[in-house]
Amino acid sequence: MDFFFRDDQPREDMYIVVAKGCKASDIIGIKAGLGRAAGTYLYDTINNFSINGRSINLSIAEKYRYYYDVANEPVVGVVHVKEVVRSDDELKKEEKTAMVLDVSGGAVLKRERLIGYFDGEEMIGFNLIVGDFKSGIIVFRTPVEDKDKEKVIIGKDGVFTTLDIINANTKRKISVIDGNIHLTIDVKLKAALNEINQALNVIDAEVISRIERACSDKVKELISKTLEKGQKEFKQDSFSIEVSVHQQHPKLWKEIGTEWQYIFPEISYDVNVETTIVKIGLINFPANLRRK
Amino acid sequence: MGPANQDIWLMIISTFYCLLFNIPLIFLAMRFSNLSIIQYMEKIFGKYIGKVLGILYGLFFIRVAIHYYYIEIQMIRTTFMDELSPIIIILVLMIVSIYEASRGLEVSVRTVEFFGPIVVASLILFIVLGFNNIDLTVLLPIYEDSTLSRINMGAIEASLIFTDPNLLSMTFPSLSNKKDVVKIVVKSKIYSQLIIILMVIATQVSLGVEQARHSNFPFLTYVRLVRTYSIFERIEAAFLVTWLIIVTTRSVSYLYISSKAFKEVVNKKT
Repeated sequence: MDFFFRDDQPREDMYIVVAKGCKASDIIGIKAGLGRAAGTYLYDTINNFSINGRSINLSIAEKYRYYYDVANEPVVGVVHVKEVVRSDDELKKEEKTAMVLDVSGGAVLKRERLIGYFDGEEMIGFNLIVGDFKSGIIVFRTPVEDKDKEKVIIGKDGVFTTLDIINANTKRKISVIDGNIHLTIDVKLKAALNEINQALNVIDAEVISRIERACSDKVKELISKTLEKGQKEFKQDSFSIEVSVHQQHPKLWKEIGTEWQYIFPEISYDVNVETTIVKIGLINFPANLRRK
Repeated sequence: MGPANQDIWLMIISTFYCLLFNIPLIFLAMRFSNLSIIQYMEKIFGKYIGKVLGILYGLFFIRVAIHYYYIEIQMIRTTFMDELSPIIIILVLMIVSIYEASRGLEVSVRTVEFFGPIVVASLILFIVLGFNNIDLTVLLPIYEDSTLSRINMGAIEASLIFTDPNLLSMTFPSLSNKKDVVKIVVKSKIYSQLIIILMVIATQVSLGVEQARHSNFPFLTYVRLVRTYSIFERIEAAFLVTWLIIVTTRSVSYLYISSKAFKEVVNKKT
């Protein structure tokens, strides 16, 4: 890495990605779309993918902003080759499938060594924990308590609801309870109803609040799953929790800073998520259903 | 040594020491208002010691000018013109500087007057454009990892770097409104410190404390990271122009006062 910082030609805002399951040279050759250069394709994919929260676009400068913190272990972007069936009939005649790049997920490093991966869903949890979740969609099972009360629905309904998160705000609070460190993660989401295919009347405030609660539960599950993986599987703080401990309890940090790698897997936590749906879109009843 | 952590900006805020160290120079300048520091040294210490001190001052000024040239060459060769021979850079810089210095104080001061607002506006623009790289939490916790004594030591150390009062002590006889000298020093110090604090904070919160310490030209690295609205990208060439104006103006000023110092030592009239 020293070369990339020392020489003036590589730029500090270059992204770092790990080629998953293949060599870096296998990634470079792949391009999709209309005659774009291979590097530009990867660059655009990383930039565009980051808005769904399932990946991370970490530049060299961003990685090294926190690199020197005693216990911080970064998560960097991932790219892997994926085979997809071509949708264009003309192109299908030549070759049925095409190779594309998928950048969902994150690579977990421990002092420059790769120790594992977070998948796309876990990266949503990761981005929410570190407060970097800018936008993205959350898919969850629709709460169906009020479904078709009047038995007037014709058509086949679906299972999932999708919310488009338009704003996410994470606050991390560190408290010391009986000498043990406890982490509280408070997440506030503002969302737009993106897709619903259950027979629910989304104008009803009660229905909306049920959807909000279901989304909050899903997000809570994603965050807990990711934190659990970090604590139990990787046994290291990839979430910069140590920065919060240092900032909120500087005196305590002086005592435990060097031992943080052993303390982190044992800390307790709770997650509070509050979702607010701020818009339901242009229609009130799912487009796939009709009333009798 | 000062704290090399997130509290560096607290250290720089202590402009008090800079002003404190300027008091003797201001006092002497007011006392001998028609003489430069070289001339009143002879009055205070006598002819021979005064001349020796004058020569030492002249050497010090030329050393500062050489130091600025050295930094300029380092910056140009490290970041932009890697393969250009340093002798060409030195020649170009020296010819421009010697010509400007030879035209006297008024030309240098008018150059500063012309470029000053452009430079200040450019620096503020560079800081603003890098807003999307900023993480203000880097500055936390404030005043927890440093002690008062270390911050004070750092502030003293930082204030000793500022050699600009020497420019005033050499050009004081040319000042038309000598009564305003205290106001000039205090104002110039506060304005320059404000800009430096802004630059230090912007650099720290963008690069992180430790990465900024690793960098030879931290603010240049900060500018290299600017990527705003896909319009303002790769603007470090604009920064280099601004930076060269600042450093060349200073080196010209020091070149001028060093030649003035040696002239005064040998009592040569211009």
